[in-house]
Formats: sequence, C-alpha cells, structure tokens
Amino acid sequence: MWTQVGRVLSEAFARLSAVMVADLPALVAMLLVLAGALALAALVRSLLRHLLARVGFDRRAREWGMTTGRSLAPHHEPSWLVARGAFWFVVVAGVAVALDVLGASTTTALGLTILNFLPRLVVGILIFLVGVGAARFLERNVLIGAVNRQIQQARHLALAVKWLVLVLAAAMALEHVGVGGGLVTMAFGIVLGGIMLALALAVGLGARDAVARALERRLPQEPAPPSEGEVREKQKIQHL
Amino acid sequence: MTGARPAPGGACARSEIRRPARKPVTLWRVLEPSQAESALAPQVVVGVPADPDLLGASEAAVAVQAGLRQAYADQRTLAVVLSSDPRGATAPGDLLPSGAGNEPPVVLAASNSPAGALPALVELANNLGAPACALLAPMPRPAEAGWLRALLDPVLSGGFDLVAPAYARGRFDGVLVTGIVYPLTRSLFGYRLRQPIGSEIVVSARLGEVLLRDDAWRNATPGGGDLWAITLAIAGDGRIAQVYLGPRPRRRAQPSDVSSALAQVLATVFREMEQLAHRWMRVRGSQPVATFGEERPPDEPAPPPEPGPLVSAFALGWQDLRRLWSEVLPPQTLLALQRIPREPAEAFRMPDWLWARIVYDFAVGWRVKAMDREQLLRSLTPLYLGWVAGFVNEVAPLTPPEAEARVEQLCAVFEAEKPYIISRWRWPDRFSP
Repeated sequence: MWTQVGRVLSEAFARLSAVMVADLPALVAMLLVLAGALALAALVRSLLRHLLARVGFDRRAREWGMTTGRSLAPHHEPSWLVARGAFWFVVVAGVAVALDVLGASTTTALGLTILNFLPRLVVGILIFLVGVGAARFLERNVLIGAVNRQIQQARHLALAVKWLVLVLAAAMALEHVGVGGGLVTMAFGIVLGGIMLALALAVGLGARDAVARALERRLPQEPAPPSEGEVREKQKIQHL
Repeated sequence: MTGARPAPGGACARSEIRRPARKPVTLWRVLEPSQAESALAPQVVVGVPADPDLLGASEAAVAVQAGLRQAYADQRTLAVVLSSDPRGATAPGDLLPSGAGNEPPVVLAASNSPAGALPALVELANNLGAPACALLAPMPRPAEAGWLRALLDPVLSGGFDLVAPAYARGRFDGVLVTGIVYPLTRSLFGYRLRQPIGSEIVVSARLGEVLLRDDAWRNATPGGGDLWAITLAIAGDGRIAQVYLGPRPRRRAQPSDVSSALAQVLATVFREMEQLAHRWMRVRGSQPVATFGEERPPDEPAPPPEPGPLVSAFALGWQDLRRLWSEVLPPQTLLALQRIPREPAEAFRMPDWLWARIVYDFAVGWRVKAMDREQLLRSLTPLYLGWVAGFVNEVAPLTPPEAEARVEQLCAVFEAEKPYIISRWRWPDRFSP
C-alpha cells in the first residue's frame, strides 16, 4: 500500500513539476511585467508631478474652480491627484497585460477585458472632471450674478445649477463608460423632465401673479414705475 | 485745418458721389492716423470719440474747432471725430449741413470707446507733429473758449506732459472713483489726481511718443486707456497736472450694472499695479499735483440716497458670498465685517482701515488668481455697496468741503495701510486665509 501511495505521490509531484516547468516562464514573465509596470507607473507619477508643477496646474485648477483655493494638504492638491491617478492607471494596465501574459484562458480574457475597459474609464473620468469644473464655475457665476441682482434665493439657484451640471456630467460619463446602458440616460431624462414639470407647476400654480407682474414689467410699452427708493438711489448715486 | 481746407491728396482725399434724384453729397475726409500729413502741423489736435452718438460727436467737434479758433487765433489747430467705422463718415449730409465748410475730419480709431480713440488720436498728433493733443467727451461746452486755454495751456506753455480735466461733482457723484480709484492710485503712485478715470485727457508730444512705444497700451481693449496713460506718465517721471473746469456740462453715462463697471475699472487699476509693482512699492505718502482752476462744488448739494438698499445688498452678499470672500480675505477681515451692525441702516459704517484692506486683499487675489478674475472682481460688489452705504451715512450731514476732507481722511488711511499691501503683494502665501 505504501508503495502505491509513494507512486501516486511521485506521479502527482511529477505532474506538478511538469506544470510548474511549463508555466514558470509565464509566471516569471508576469512578475517582470508587473515590476515593469510598477516602475513605469512610478516614473509617470514623478514626471507628471514635475510637469504639472511647472505649468502651474494647481493654480489653474483653482482658477477654474476645481479646488476651493484654501490651503490644501500637499497630497490633496490637483497635481498630486492627477499624478496618482496616472500611477494607478499604469498599474492596472500592467496587471491586465500581466494577466494576458500568464496565458491561461481565464486570465487572458480578464486581462483583455480590463485593457478594453480602461480607455473608456479614463475618458469617462475626464468627462466627469470637466463637468465638476464647469459646475463649480457656473455655480460661482450664478451665485455672484444673483447676489448682485439682489435675488434672495441666490444660493439655492447656484446650487441648482451646480447639481444640474454635475448630474449631466455624471450621466455623460456613465454613458461613455457603458455602465448602466440606456438606464442612466433615461433616468437623467426623467429627473430633468420632473424638475421642469415641477417648476412649471410651481410657477403656474404658486407664482402666477408674480410672473404676470414680472412679464408686465418687461413690456417695453408699459414699463412699471420703479419704487420710490429705487428712483432715489438711481438718481442720486453716480458710480462713475 | 478744417474740412474746408483743400486736401493735399493721399489719405486726406475729398471726393464726391452722386445719388439718384438727390443733390451731390460731400464725403468727409477720412484721415488714416499713420498716413496723416505733417504739412498740417497744428499746435493742438483735439479728438472727440464718436461713441455713443456720432452726430453729437460731430457737433461737439465743430464747437471745439470754433473754440480753438477763438482761443488760439494765431495758431493752427485741428478738431477731429474719432470713429471706428469709416463708413460712418461717408454720409455726412445727414449729420451736418452739406457745404458748411467746417466739417471736422473723421479719424479711424480702433474702437469707438475712449480706449481705442486715444491711441488713434495720439498717433495722429504724433504724425502731424502737434505739441499737444486732447481727448474730450462729446458734450456741450461753454461758448467762451477760456476753458480750452485752461485745459491746453499747461501742456502748450507750462511744460506739463499730461493734464487731466476735473469737474466739480456732487458728494455722491463718482463714488467708485472716490472710494476706490482715487485713494488706491494715490496711495500706490503718490499723486493726488482727483479724477483719474475721467475719459478725458491732454497729452504732450513727449508723452505721446512714450505711449506709442508701448504696444500693450496701443492695443488695449477695453477701457482704461486714460488711466493707463496716467500711470505710464507717472512711471516715466512725466509732469502731471489737473484742471478744474467747473461743473460737468452733461452727467456722465452710468453703467446699468454696477458690478460690470466695478470689474472693468478695477481690472484696469490692478493691471497697472501688476505692471508697475517695482515702482509703487518704493513710493511712500503722496504729493499734490499741479492744479489749475478752482474747484467749485455744486450750489445745491443733492439730498443723500437711501442707505437701506445698499445695506441690504451688503447683507445679502455677506450671507451668500462669504465663502468666496474667505478665499481672498484673511480671517480678521471677515471677523471685522461680521461685527459691523446692519441695523439701523442709517448707522451702518465700514471702517476705513477695513475698506482699504479689502481693496488691497482683492488686488492680491486678482494677482495670484485666487479664482477667475472676472468673478473675483464682481464678487466685490456687495462690499463696495456696503462701503457706499457707510460713506453716504457719514457724508450726508457734511458740507461739500467737509465731505472732501472726509475723502482725504480715507486716502490717508489707504496710505497708512500701504505696508500691508506691500507685504501681501510680496508674500501672498504668508497671509493666506
């Protein structure tokens, strides 16, 4: 019996050795690819940090409204985030290539899937980031303009604009990445339609008289007389 | 020197066209600034921008030409209309009586605004060899031409390089100039020029050459060409004077949107700050500029405006824009703003030191681009209106001389706070909020 056990074990070890001998080059190649990917990722991160610092990326991001402008922790600045994003992009791409190099059918398929998905993911992230910048810029613009026009609900107006643009950007990004299929577009359409319908109902039912008065004021033939205070202010203060 | 003078040819061509069933219409001469002929050799060239009213500008130029003849009878003078549209000069029959013989030439300018008109005028005067040129707003002027001599003589015979006309204005006229531009330019450059952005200016040939060498100034748009010229004159150690011409014949056109005017004016001043930082950082205190004429305040001061809407604008800004301001203003400034009592509106006051620091902080924010520059300057509007409210409350019971003394007090605080702006300008991150 022990002889048979020994034979079975030796056959098993022989098979394992054969498999290892057959797959070892692929494993080594995979490890080399991973190590190379890590080195390349570190290089890309370092290069990006220096390049973005030279072009003043953090300052520009602040101007575009993508950051608040308050003193950020060094590792939370936009240039660092971009560099880290690039680092992980290269690492994930390296993992995908490494899985492909391994040669197994499952890992190859997984690697190819990741490689196909990565570009779309990156573009989707870029779409969303641009949307975030646009949302913040428009939010500020609306907020400042509304405050300067003495609109009491300026903050709410600005927030509405911000979230509208953010949701639009998110829907566009998800649509591009391919997550959710047509569901995202449909959901966005439903939400937007609902908001418009709610606004229409609110204006139609709740603010009918106010809208009528506002429209009357805008008629060129019959300009509404400004209030006494407005007249006094306009008549007395000359800014230039 | 006028349209009746036979044009020697070239760019100063005078031609006629015939319209069907209408009498011949004389075209105005169109002078290209770069090709204007030196044979005219006037002593003075006065330009009137065609904006906003070409007809009004034409009439003003004719009146100025008549005044020049009266004031400088023995010298050659020239009045021109500065227009960006050469086609606007092709149908003068609708604007002035045809054949009157004294139509002013039309000079092509980069734009109808004073910003574009001034470079064209200076270039024309330079090409003509005129010792002085003046940009004047189109508005009715006194029949007696003494005002023209008062305006032009400092350059023609006084050796000055730049003269800024100043008008007697009410306490609440030009508050943007009173509250920001005058104190700021005075503390920065050390010259007490009371109305530095009047859109009217007299420039000597020497300063004209300096201006024309500055390509950035020549191509500047929009607005602020006169202030830019003043700062260039200061930077070039030019001699500056101001001339009081009495009450302004016509009220200056006011912007429909205060924030736009604020953004445009402050962008010009801050740009000057950025370009001439090496100079204004060395200036301490201020000195009076040569002043001609007598400042005569309006006989009947207008009643003060209501401070209530201004305070409300400030309060709304504090409520909604405080987060944006915190990116520019240090915490102690925000704290001081928070402590200002809003009610009653008649008791609202903004301390001078606080207002000076706010203006300086926004200048630093503009320089380091703390946010989009247009947004940054527009966000100052509620603070500015708050200062206006305090100024109205303080100045309302004062006589005009007392009100002017109050402005001087504000300017003195701006000058006292100048070390603050120098520190912040040099090390903007050190005081980073």
